[in-house]
Amino acid sequence: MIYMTDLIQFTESKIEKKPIFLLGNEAIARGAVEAGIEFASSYPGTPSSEVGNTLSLVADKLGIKFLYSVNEKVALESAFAASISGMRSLVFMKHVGLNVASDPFVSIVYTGTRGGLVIMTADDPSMFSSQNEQDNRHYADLAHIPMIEPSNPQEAKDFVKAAFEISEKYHIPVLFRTTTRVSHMRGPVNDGEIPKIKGTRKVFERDPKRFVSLPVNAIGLKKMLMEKLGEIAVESDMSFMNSTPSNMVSEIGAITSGSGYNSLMDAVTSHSIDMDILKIGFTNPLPERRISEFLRQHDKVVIVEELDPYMEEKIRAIAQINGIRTRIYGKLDGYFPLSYELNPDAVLQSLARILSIPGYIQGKSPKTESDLPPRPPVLCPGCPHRGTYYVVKRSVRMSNIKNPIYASDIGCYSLGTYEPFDEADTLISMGSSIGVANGFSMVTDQKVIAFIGDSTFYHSGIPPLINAVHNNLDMLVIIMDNGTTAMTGQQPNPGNELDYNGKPVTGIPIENVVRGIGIGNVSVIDPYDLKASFVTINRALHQTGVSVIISRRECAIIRDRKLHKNGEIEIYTVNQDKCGKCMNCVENFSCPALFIENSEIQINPSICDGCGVCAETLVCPFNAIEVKK
Amino acid sequence: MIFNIILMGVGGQGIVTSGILIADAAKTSGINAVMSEVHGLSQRGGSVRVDLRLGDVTGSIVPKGETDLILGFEPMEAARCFVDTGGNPKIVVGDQIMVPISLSTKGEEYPSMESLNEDYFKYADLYRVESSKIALEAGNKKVSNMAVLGGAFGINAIPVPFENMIGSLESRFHGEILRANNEALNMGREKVRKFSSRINSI
Repeated sequence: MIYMTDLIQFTESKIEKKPIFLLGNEAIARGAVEAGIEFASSYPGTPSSEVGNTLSLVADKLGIKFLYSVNEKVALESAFAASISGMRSLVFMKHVGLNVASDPFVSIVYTGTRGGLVIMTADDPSMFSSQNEQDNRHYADLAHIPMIEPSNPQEAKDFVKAAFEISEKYHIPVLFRTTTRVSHMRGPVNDGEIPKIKGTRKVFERDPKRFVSLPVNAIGLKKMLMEKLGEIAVESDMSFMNSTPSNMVSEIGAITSGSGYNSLMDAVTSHSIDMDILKIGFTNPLPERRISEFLRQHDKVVIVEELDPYMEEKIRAIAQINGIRTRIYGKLDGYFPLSYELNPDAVLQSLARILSIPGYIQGKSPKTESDLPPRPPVLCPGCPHRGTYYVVKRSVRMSNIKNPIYASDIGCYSLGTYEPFDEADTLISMGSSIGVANGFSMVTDQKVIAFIGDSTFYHSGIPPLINAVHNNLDMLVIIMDNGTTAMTGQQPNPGNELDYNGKPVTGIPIENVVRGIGIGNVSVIDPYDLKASFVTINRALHQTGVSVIISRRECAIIRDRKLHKNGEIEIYTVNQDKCGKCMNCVENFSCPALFIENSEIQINPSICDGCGVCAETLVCPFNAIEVKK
Repeated sequence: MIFNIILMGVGGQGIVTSGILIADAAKTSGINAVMSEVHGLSQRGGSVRVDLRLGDVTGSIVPKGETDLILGFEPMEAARCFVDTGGNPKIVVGDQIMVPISLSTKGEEYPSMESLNEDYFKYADLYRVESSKIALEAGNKKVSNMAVLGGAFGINAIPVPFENMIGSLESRFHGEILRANNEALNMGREKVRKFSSRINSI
């Protein structure tokens, strides 16, 4: 990794003279380390993954107990236990991960914490790598939890430290919310001292009246929580995380937070817009006194925030309660969009409807819109999922199965939805492939084929599989086991024998799990061996009940790393004398290394991975694809 | 001072790495740098755009019409970026072609350089670097990104001293990999050529 030098500085406790250049997520890890965390847990998910990638490099050295948990719920429950045993703990996940952890999330705010507990969640406006763009700020209201939002890497680091202070002062977990553009923004960060942590075992002191949330206890805890929140509201009003970065000179103001602040600042600066700004970093409870003061000082106030009108609704309520007649502009009155990220262009476009500002300079390209072919992400060259999808499609066709239902799931293999595979009819949430397969099996006579990856299977594929067996349902579940959590950056999962730091852990073979549930029809295929896979899948398609095929082959990215290290990569080429130009390889196997040039099929040597699957007769009946000499 | 760079190409071409190296060099030169990266699923062979902003900026996204320089690691992606960002940036484009699967599966071929020039770059301030060839000569097919970067230095399009760029390479890479990167960077710098519409290829 190129940024290793920055990360090495990371583990040194002395303060560096020059700022280090960190990604927002790396800065969050750094802030947590400077806050003296002793425990951290996560389930990887973009855009939060780099917090874990960073911690995994430094945790051992610093004496932090860090683990990738089987899912977000277990990650949060573990961190909670560490907190009530007295450790400062960090738990982090992507926005939809908090849905998975939401059950304990809401209740631990009632019981409260001991060692500081910060729950980091990364939202994904514009859905760069997510199935929705839910606004997790609503969780702050749902759970009555304090919430903090940074705008850049430096703040990410500083605010995380502040979040731990608040958590410990009020014995309450704190929600730390970022968005993709903050998590994936790289910028200079001034580091602070890393405290020596004790790293000793803790003794949990029991307090059942607090930590056993039976109704008899919870009823008192709710009242205490609301009182606590009142005190924290005073804290928010005094917090350094809420600021006015410019002098107050204009009659127009803007209240903003997070990434919206960055876009607003750039728009205001580049177009010399005269506007005062109140930047909110402590977003629940909102600094009510500060906001009402700011409203009173301005005739017009624009609310610039991403996604839902979360602050706007509250600010309008603050104005109403305090009898403030300032004109407020935002999303509720249609000035700002309710969808997608607020980049500087979107902010300018919205501001232009309120103020007069010039538009941007049109380009010099003869076209104003590209009609170039789109380039969505694709399965990598050498990806084992390509072989699985290729063979399943063939087998289904050969078996003359009409109207199969392909239930897909979350992972790199989601890309099987694109042409030429087109093998995804549903894709909703982690584990939903097998979940929806249950329902389809109950209400249709169609053949149901569920695709799920190894990490997703452990995460939430097991309960729906139990449900299917218990209810005697029919389905073929194909577990695509590439031995890693690939999409988010090759983090380990419970199938692995080694942890992120190379330490031995207990790998849990998928076949043991599915046999333990009582499934008899279990086979393992190698998706690089198309012919053998084809035979096995054909057989499974004719079985009734629940059948499981484990398609096992290491992730190509991991394989590449190993091979390059050993210098063993051997690539393929098309022998034009043998090529029958049937086009099957480009049209149906569709490895990105294959392309057509001057009506000949070629293999791009700079990306060929040397897997050799395209050379198999099931892809190239002319045996024209050969090892390049 | 504000200087906006968009690095555009296909996942796997070393785009984020290139951005970090320039940012490092800027930092050494006392210039503030912020960058917007792409991680996760979108990295898998799809279009990748990294915004790198130097100077007095707050956010990391380059506003439309304000791009000063496009580093195009792949010609089609450079064209896509130019249309999308508007304005009149300098464009340095490499010749490493990556044919999108969406074309191959339909039996179609990559657009000719003539048509890309005609449709997109006709009036652009365009410079070309034979980045694939340079990478081969440097002995490492992964360093074509450095040739494009070098090209930008060759036309003085990046407001950072070249020696700081070398320093940035030296602080991040070692041994054979450093040598290949360095060579590609220098060759790109020497061999960058202005595109003129009379020459019918990029």
